[in-house]
Formats: sequence, C-alpha cells, structure tokens
Amino acid sequence: MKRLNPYKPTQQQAQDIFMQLKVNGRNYEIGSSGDTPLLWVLRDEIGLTGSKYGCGVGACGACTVLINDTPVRSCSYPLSAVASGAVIKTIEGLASESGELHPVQKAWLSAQVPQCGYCQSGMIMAAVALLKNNPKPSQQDIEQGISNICRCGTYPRVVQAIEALAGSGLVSKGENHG
Amino acid sequence: MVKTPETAMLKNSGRRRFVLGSVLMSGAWVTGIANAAVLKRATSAPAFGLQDKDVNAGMRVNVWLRISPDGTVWLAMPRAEMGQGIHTAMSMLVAEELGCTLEAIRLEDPDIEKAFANQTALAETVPFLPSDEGFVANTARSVMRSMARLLEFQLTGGSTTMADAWVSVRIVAAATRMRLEATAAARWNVPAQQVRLVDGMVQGPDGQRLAMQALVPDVMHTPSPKNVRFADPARYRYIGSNPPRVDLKSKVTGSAVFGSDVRLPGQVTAVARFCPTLGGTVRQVSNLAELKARPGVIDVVTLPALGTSGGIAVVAQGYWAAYQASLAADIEWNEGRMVNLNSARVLNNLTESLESGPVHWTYRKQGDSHWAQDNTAENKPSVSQRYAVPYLAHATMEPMNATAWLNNGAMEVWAPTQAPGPARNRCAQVAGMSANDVRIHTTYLGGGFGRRVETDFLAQAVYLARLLPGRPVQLIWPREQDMQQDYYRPAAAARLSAKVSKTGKITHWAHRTASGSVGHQVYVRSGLIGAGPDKGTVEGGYDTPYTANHLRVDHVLKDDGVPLGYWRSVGHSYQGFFIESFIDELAHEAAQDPYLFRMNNLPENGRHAKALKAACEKAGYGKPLPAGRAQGLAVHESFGSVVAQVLEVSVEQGKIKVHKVVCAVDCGLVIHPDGVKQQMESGVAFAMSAALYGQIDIENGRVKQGNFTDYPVLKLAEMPKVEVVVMPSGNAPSGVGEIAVPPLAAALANGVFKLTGQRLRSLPLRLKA
Repeated sequence: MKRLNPYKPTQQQAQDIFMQLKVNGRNYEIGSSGDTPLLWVLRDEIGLTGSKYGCGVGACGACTVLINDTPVRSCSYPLSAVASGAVIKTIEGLASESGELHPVQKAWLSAQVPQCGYCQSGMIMAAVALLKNNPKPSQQDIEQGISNICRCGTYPRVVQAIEALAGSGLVSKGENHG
Repeated sequence: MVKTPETAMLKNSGRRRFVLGSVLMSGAWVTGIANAAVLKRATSAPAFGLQDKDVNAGMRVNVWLRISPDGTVWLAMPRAEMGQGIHTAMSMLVAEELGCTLEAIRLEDPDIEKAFANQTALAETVPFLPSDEGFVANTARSVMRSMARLLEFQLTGGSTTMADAWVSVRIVAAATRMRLEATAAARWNVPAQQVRLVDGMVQGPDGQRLAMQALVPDVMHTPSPKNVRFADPARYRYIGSNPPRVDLKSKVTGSAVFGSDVRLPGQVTAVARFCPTLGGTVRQVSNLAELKARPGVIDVVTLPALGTSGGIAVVAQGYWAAYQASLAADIEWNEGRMVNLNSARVLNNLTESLESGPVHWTYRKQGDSHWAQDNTAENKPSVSQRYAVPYLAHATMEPMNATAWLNNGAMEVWAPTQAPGPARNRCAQVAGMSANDVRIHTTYLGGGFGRRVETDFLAQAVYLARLLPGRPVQLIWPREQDMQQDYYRPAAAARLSAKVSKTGKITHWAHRTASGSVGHQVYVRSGLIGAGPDKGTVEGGYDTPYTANHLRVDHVLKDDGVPLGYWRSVGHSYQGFFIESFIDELAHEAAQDPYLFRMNNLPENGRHAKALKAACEKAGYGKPLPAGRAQGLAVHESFGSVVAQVLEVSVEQGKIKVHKVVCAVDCGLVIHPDGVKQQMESGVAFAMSAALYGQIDIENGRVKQGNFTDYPVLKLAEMPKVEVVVMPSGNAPSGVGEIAVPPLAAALANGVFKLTGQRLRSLPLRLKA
C-alpha cells in the first residue's frame, strides 16, 4: 500500500549561497545550499566536529554555538540566516591560542562534569552564553538559562560549575577568550 | 592456582563467586602472560577515540600491556567508555597493581582477543540466585566463563567491567609487577622480596633504582610468578582516591572523538530512513532517479532488515544532502506482520495473562508455593496488587551511527559500540568476509544504556561499505529513526500478593510478571534459539531479599514481536518499581512506617538493611520537613550492589517535583568514589526521566514518538540534589553503572502516596486531577 510521504519537502531545494564565515577567529569560504543548518556546515564542510547532532529540531542543545555571543541551536539555524560578518564561536574556539582553557572549561574540569560527554560541547557553550549575559546568575537563572538535554544526568555538576563562576568576573562580554 | 591473602579475604567476606572466578581464570592468565601475545591489526589505519598512537612504540609485555622506552604504559582498553568512567577506573586499578603512576598510563584500542572477553557478563546470565554458590550454579558460571572466551565475548554491559577486571587485568598487572621486580632482583643479585616497584621505579634494598622500562627487554625471560601478590589495600595509592577522569579534558574541548566524529579521506555520509512499521521492509522507491539527481547525492541503497526494519540509505556528500533526499524519497513499504500491533492492547494482554497464564518458568519457590492459587479464606492475601510499565526507548544523546571502509580487502569499522566482539562477527557475516579481515575500532560512545550492545547499525554501515568499495561510509540515523528503530525496554505487568502476620512479618509472597524476554530475542538475533529461563525478566524479583516462608516467583512469557533490548538495569528497571511499591503498600496495610516495615522484613544486619538505615539517617528520615513535602524510600539490589534511596518530593500545581535524593550505595570495594557519585547522579536522572515521562506508544505497528519533543526527558531545572553515602565493604567491586536506576521510581511513587494518598501503580507516574 502506498502511503503519502509526510516528510517530503514542498519547495524546491534552496539555492546555493556563497559566503565567508568567521568561525573561531578564522575565515572560511562556504558554498552550500542556503537551507543547510549551520551545524552541518561546521561539521561536514569546515570539519569542526565538536558541536554535536542530537535531535535536529533545536530541542536538545547539543549543537549550541555562539553567534555574536548569543547561543544558537545550530542544527536548526540555516546558513542563509547567518548575517554577513557574524562572529561564530564553537567549543573548539573557547581555549586560547596557546591552549589555555576557558574559565568555563576549567570550572567544568574542577567539578568533573562530563560523563559520556556528547552533550557537553553544547552545554558548555550555553553556560558561556549565560555567564556572558548574566555574570552572576542565581540558581533560578541557571535553571531557566540552561535547557540543554543530558541523558547522563550531569545537571547537578553543570549547576555546580556555573555557580563556581557566578560573580567571579571571569566570564563577561569583553573577556579575552570571548 | 593462585592463592593469596586477598582471595582468602574475599572468601571470608561471603562473596565466593569472585574467588572461584579468580582461581579458575588466573591459571590460564598467568601462563598466558609468559607468551607475550602480539596484537594483529588489519591495517595501520588510525584508531579513534582512544589515545592510540604508534602501535610499535615500546615492547609488548603481554596482551594487556605495552611499555615504551619513555615509561609510557599502554593499556589495551577493550571496554567502552560511555560515560560511566570506566577508562579512569580501569587505569587506576592497573596503576595500583602494576606500580606505575596513573599519568604514565595511556589507553589503546585493541583488537578482539579471547583474553578481553567479558567473562563475568556471561557468567551473570545463569538463572541461579546470586547467593547460590552450589556445585551446579558454580559449574554453570564457569561454563559461561569459558564460553565467553570461546565466543570472544568482548562487551561492555551488565555493570560487569570492574567485577571482571578484578579477576582479569588486575591479576595481569600484579603478575607483571612481580616479573619486573624479579628481573631487577636477578640483575642486582638480591632476593626478589626485597625489590619494590613504586611509581614506575624499581627500588632495591641498597638504594638501587631503575626505571621500569629499562627492564622490559629482560622481563621477557622472567617467568610468571606462581602466586600473585596483590597491592596491600592498606597502602593503596589510587584505589579509593579521586583523580580527575582521564577522558574529561577531551570532552570539555570538543576533541573527544565519538562515532559520528570520525573523519576519513574521501568519506561520504549515509542517512537511513527505515520502514516506520516495525519489521517492515522496502517494496520500492518510486522516485529513485529524481533522488539520485539531487546535488550531492551519490547513491540510494535499499537496506534489508539488518536491524528492526528494512529501509533506504541515501549516500551523499555530507549529512544535509543525504537527509533531505531521504525525506524526499517516495517509498512503498512492505509493512510486514506487525501492522496490527498496538501497545495499549499489548499492556492489556500482559495484565490479563497474569491471571490466565500460562506460566513459562517458575524462578523460585519455597514452602507452600501454591498458596496464592488456593482460594481458601485462610490463604486470602492481605494485599494483592497489579503494576505495569510501558515500552521505553534508550534515546542516547548520540544517535546510532557507524563508519565502515572496505579498504584493501579489509573491512574497517569505527563505531560507538558496547560489543566489538559480537559486532566483528556480525560485520564479517554481512560483508561475507572472515572475521580476521574485519577490524572494529571503538570510539567514545555518546551514551550506551544497552542500546549499543546491538550490532544493527554496524551491520548496515558494512552493508553500504561493501557496495562502495574503497570509500569510507559514515551511516548516521536521524533522531526520529533512532527512536523508532530501537530495541525497546519491554513493557511488563506484574501481580504481587502477600500475607503479613500481626507482627508485621511477611509470611506469604507470590510474584508473577508478564513480559517478553530480551534474552530470548537476543539469542534469536544471534542465530541461536531463544528458549528456557531468562532470569532477566524477573531479576530483582526472584532474588528478593524479603524473607517469607511461602514464596513463589514466576513469569508469563508473552512475546508480541516488538523488538526488545537491554535497557539500563534491564529487568531490575521494572522489578524495582513493582516490589518496592508493593512493600510500601504492605507497610500501609500493616499500619507500619515504611522504613520500620522494611527493617522488620529484610535480613537483619544485611547489606539492604544497612544501606537503608544509612540513607534514612543521612536524609533525616522521619524528621519534620518543609510544608508540602514528603519522603519516599526504596532499596534494591542489582548487579551485586545494593542502593537505598530516600526521595524528598512535593506536588506543585499538579506536577511532581523531587527536591532531594539521598543514595546509600554498597558496591563492594570502591575504586573511584567520585565515579560512583557520578553514577548515582546519572542513574537518578535516567530513572526520573522514565518515572515521570518515559513511554513509547505503538499504533498499527508504528512507534508514535520520534524526538525529545514527544519523548521528553529530565531537564536541568527538574534535577534534584543528589547526596551519596558509600557503604564500607570488604567485598570485591560489584556493579555501579546501572544500580541507581531500579529503586528510584518506587521511592518516588511512595513519596507521592504519602503526600497525596494516590497510589500510582503504573509508569510513567500520572497524578489524577
């Protein structure tokens, strides 16, 4: 029995667009269809595999990256929506050039947060964004600000790591690593 | 035979099973060490995930260990890191027994070897009581141990890694240390007893010092010791300490390589779309030409049902092109025999079969075991209740994927797999090749929970690689496919009946479960016959610690064809809920406090009672709580360990909230205390997702849920505070990774009952308005 295909895209494929992407301080020439989510541009074209695919619908946050310091679920953020000149930061760009870890990464290690680790790139990027926009988040701010999904249950340690940085002034909009 | 004070100590501790294992195994082990095995490799292609670098650096001392001239100790790591911290704990164990620093240890991804078989995992499947140390039970276990070696059962599961390592790599590391010490002693002409290997330096009685690696060439001529002397527990340097986990730096920098992060030259991406009806296949794809003409698309392949269903795989340059084309495919399906299956009806049938039977297996009986069937007034149970749980998906954060490459006559597979041993055989079968020509590289796993014991996703990648020789093919399942093509935690129903004496003692106990059998299905999938007892269906039930003179635990087998799989804590995941909910009901009926009722019925001063007492003390059980809160408790033994939990719960605007979970855990000797704490936090979160939300519905053979939007899991804002008490123990290490899951749902439901008077007997917990 033939069934209607509920998934079939109704429109023709998006046009290819050519643009320069600034990721972690480097420029990349990109030529992709405009509907390609930023996640797959990062993973398949640029080769930055730190940001993960978890759900494809922006529900889990494993793909979280920063665009101009704003957290974005890159699996659902089409390339065509990335403004020219936008500054994209992924987990690979958090540490300094010399390899010194970002304060959030350090806090993550002190609290021994990750387990399987798959959601952690996105979780860390979400924490960086939270602290940049709210340098002293309360527990409630953290609960509202971090909606990423973790199946291993690293949540208590995520809170612990963020709380260790709250009010420290180590993460701010102007911070060197940012 | 190896006899040591350590094994004697364990023997006295009442866990002789481990001792038996070690005695049987170590003979073979120690002789094995004398012939340094060399790992064969299909090619020199890089292994991912682990820090595998130059395989030729240094000298192989035995199948587990290789020592480089710079003092690096390369430890073969045949167990998968899926979050449970096993790479760290095993490194700690080896550093302790070998006498090197933890920093000196690096891990490499080894080939399949008999020596790496997880003998404990297979031995634990025998349907005897864990406490049964009789001849028959122990013979069955040792047969399974031999089988594991024969089958090259290299697998991570059943919370067995540390228990198995305790009687495998620990012996090897200790024997290697003794050989290094003996080698130095011969060189210095001093008695071996006066030489000590500490932190990678061999130290002699007269101040001689020599780096361990300098002795490696000569150690090959030093025989293995007849008696293995283990590190002195009083002087443990690593065991019981909290070094940082070895895998975390790569996991905070994004450099850890998971299965889908593998990147090989010329690699292409394949995206699967399976028949949505479980077990169905593809009849035809009507717009193949159109799909193949899409930009970036290389091929569209029809996949046979190598896993749950058949489907198509679109091979393309990159995920997005492949995924879009997979959605655009017009597919006509052969829906197969499951097309009329509805999960709601399955659950009804399971519940009905609790009365109608037939009983497939009686796992335990004592006294008048037929008392519950006897309808006399005298035998009327004090309480008899039914419970039920639904199918569940694993929903690992990393969807199923594998990368396969038919490269110069060898099939190389990179995959986040819990079962490289069985996977290699499966891949060889699909590729039509000899297992020797297949190499499995295990990456980090983005969650496992039992899903990655299955080999379907590797088989599919190999199937594609065979059609595209010379090209690495990375198969990725979109989330929806992952959720709809799972091997599900079985739906199950149970009826528990009991009689309680006036003094609050359980005198009669009858426990019947109805469900499918994961074990049977796994055997059938492995080409064997699924029959006989599967203790996994009733584990935690047939070995209940509650004592009753008249007792029966049996099982009604109902296989409705829904693909079933191992899901974190397997049968315990529902038996913990059934039993500990029922115990609470008995306490209520007997008008006793749930804590006192349990203490009255658990073996006095046993591990359960002690853990429960410790959890209640830590939680301040019985002391006044903030208004609107109540405490629920449960205790459950699984995988050789006992966990007692006290939950502090409230109901806010009709929504259940857990504020705090206190876990008291007895898991034998603790290698890495912070790792145990992490796993308690992990089990709590995982079990809360199941208790509050988890439900897979099947309608007309199709799984309804497809993503985290309709299969919600616990979020950070809902995560309770978790406090952990580790019970002191003289036993060998037992399971940790799954043990916090079983008691949680019951403790939660018991707390909700205390708070609202509503007794919720099915999961997920839904309050009546």
